[in-house]
Amino acid sequence: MKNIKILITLLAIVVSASVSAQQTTDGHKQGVIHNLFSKMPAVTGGVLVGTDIGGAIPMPMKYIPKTFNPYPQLNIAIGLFGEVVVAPQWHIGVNLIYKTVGMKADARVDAQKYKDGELLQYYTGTADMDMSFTMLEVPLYAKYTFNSQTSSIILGAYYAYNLKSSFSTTATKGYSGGKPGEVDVVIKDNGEPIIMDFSSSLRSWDTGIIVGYEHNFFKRLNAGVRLNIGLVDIFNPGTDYFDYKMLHMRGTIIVKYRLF
Amino acid sequence: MKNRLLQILCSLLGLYMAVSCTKVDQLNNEATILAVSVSSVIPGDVRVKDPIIVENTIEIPLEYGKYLFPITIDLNIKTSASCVEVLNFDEGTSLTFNDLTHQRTIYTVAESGATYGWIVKFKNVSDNENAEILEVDIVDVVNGNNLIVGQMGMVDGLESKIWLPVVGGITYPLVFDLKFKISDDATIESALEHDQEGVYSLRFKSATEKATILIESENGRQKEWTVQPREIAVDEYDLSSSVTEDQAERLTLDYESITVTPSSPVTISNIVGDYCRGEKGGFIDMYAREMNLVYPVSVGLNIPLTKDQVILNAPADNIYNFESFTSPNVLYVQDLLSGVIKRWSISLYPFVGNTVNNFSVEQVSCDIANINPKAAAVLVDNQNQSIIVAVEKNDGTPIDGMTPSVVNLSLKFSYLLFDGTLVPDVEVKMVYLDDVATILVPILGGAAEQYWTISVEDKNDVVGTTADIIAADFSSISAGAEGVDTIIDPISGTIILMVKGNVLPIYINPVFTTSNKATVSGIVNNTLVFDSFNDVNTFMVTSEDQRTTKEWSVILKQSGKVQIPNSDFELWGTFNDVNNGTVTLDPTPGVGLGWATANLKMVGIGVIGTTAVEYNGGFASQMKTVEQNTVLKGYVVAAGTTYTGRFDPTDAMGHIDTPWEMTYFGIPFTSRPVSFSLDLRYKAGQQLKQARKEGRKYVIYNIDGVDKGHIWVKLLHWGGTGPLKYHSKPVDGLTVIGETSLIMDGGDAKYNNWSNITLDMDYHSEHYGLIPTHIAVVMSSSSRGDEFIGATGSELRVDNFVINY
Repeated sequence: MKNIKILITLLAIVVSASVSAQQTTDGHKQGVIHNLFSKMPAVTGGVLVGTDIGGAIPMPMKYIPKTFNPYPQLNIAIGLFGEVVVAPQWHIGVNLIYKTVGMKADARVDAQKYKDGELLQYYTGTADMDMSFTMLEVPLYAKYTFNSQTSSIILGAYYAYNLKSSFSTTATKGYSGGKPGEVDVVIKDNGEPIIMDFSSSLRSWDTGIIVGYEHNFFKRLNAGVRLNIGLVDIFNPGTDYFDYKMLHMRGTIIVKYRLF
Repeated sequence: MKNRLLQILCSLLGLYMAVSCTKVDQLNNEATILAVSVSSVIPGDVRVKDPIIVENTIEIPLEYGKYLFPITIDLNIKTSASCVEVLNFDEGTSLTFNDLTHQRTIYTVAESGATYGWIVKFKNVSDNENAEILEVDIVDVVNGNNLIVGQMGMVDGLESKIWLPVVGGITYPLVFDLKFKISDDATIESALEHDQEGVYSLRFKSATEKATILIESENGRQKEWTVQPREIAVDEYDLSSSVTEDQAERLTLDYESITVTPSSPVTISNIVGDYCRGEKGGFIDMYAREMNLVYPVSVGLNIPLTKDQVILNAPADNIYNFESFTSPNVLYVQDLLSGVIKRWSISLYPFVGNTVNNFSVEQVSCDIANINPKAAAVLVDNQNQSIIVAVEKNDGTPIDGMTPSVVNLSLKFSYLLFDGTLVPDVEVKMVYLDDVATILVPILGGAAEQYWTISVEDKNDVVGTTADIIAADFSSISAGAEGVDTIIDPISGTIILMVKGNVLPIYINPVFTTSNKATVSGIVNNTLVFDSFNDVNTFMVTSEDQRTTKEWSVILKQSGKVQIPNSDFELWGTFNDVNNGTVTLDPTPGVGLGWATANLKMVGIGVIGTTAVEYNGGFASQMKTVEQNTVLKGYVVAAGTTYTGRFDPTDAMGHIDTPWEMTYFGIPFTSRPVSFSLDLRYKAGQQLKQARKEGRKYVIYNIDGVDKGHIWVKLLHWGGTGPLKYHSKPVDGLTVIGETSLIMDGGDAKYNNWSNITLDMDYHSEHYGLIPTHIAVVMSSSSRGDEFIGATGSELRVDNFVINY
């Protein structure tokens, strides 16, 4: 509820700022904004709000099942940002973001390898997946602002510490066996599903790279998108549930409001 | 710029949402097998029909090949369009089955991943597995000097052996031309030489050489038979001790109907003979009427034969030569149904004596008041030259008279001698009943006389012949012990005294009531001494006629906590008095007093359906339903049984139709327990079968249903006379006081593993006051075994039977 209040507040600021810009610029918007940014201080900071679309996906991506239907769970992300001008058109920025990245999906998998205790099993059939990561994310990036002063691209890295995470897969109908194509257990449609909960084996942190684009709409309001690409497996080292790694891959929409 | 942002956002969303255009929920769930065919079978001799799909089961009708497992089949499977794969084949689309009961499961997988199991199994469609050699005709034999060869081989179906009986001087090699009659639709698989008429030539270099004949039934069951000459040596010729009653009947010559052919000069006056079971063959003694026979004598004899018997060495034109009366003719008679041969000797004796015929008592009188005896029966013993006349009082009471019995009997009679002379009106007198009178009978044509004795016996003065205890009074017992009940079992000669208290030693001064004035001996100072409850006191009872002496035992049982001995089924062994030496349950503490089984193999016939199996570090009793070859009446379904009581295999052949009449349920028992506990496991055989009698033989048919195991317990009160004879049918004088039972449905998997079961007794209130005398516990692997219904292979295992008080 607290997150929602903050989001509404920030959205109200964004909307009001946007309206204000439209009223004051009216036909000369590009020039006005250029002027505004030319007066921007060397150190800026403010608040941000956003949401993430994505989750952990198999890597290499060839392991993504052919029939795979993701259902992103949109959650509010809030945070602070700070940026320093280090050269003309160059900033170094750092954020502190509290977010929950969640995704549900169903898929038709073939010979999906997993471990049942010490028993190696392969599952074929349909499965539901549910993942959720609540984290503190700290992106550190370099931002280059184009001459227009309205568009910027960012490139950097992030570190995230998972405050709470869960990852489970439910085999809903299909078969499981000790080898691909071998049937030891049949999961009947509408029967008792097999639930594979990997939550206890999730790594507590993540790191990766960020690429993004930001657009300055007004003097203090900025919005952008980012792509967070995780570089480490979401599972603890030594766990080999799957033949592949599961890496975070999410897109982020961020609206920033500069306070100073 | 806004459009550019929107494009980016949409691209990002599209990365996820457009990963798959197909929704998982839209994937088809159907994966049905529409048709199945068999493309190849290994071994190639196996014949199958087109598979039948019944719900989720694919049955492959097996016409031939039941005995050729493992069988590998290659299947062509047509599925619905949405089926993406068929799994669980061994290799390619082939499946291997280890036996007829082996079931395999294949799986069809739908687009959605929904997986369906399909059982693939064989269904035997040919039940004809008879691979028997029914008869062997000995068509010809090459070689042999003075060789006497049976016309038929001896077929031993149990051991799968054919004996070719030969008698006399044998020179090997011998070549037998044989023609086999085998089971319907069976074939001879052996690569032996044979002509177009199916006559096989078997060559034997020695008596120990065997030929092998492989018979294959319609459904592929193979049975190997061995064929071997059997030299019937002089000391071995008589097989009568091991033949059946039917065989013995067919081996018996109708000697009383022997006639002399008209050309013979001899007049046969009398013929006696005997089959002589267990001795050196049968004999026929013919007595010529001529006293002065001059040997050698050639006599043409017409010996009647039945269609099932033949004389192997009958002389030409049936002219028998007798060198002397001590040189008999030896005949070999063969039973054409079984091939068994028996030796008979036939002798011709000259007339040397006389015989008494038509002994007729014309009058019996007595001058003792109230005694008016009459002749009741006459026994003429020509061999011992004695005549015994039974007399009786008109009122049927004994002529006991005085001691000694003065009866003053007068006997008037007539008789006919062998030579046709009538001797009338002979009268003898006897003062005492045991007097013996004599008469002189002419012999040797009147040249001499022979003494004959005439005696009388009182028909109604029955001398005791039994040595039984009718009643026992143990009331005179030492302090600290009290006899509460006595059980007398005349079959085993055991008296069980149920005792309260345990102050040892126990001294008892018994009072016995015996049968028919029998006498008791062997009890020192008329005191039975028991130093422990395991002691056994024995004594002897002798019948009044002194001909029968029987050992009796007295054992003690502590009242109230009796368990049936050997209820942990650890004691097994061979006991000649119950099973002729095959391994079976130990009948401790004696036959008819503990556990027993009806599944015995005797004289090579029968089955061993109850055996010891390892369980929990010891043994358990395993009952198994099997097919039993009765030899004479085909195959029946025989349930395995374990029960309290005894099994009496006497006249087993006569009880093939009514096997339950050989089982005597119940052992002495006097308590009223509340329940019974035991460990058990039950698995039903695959196919329920029933043996039905068709003509003289039983034929086994498959029937619908699932076999069931059965355990029942009955507490009995026997109020009748003599020993209890209970075959689970109602008996006059027998009351069922209480009972309990358990039916184990073979379709219920809960009995497939060992479990401990408790059966609560249900007492019948109307018999509340009756004290039990016997307990009958019956456990069977097939509940309808007495109807010859059961599934071959049904298996009931039991252990640790406990009576709970």
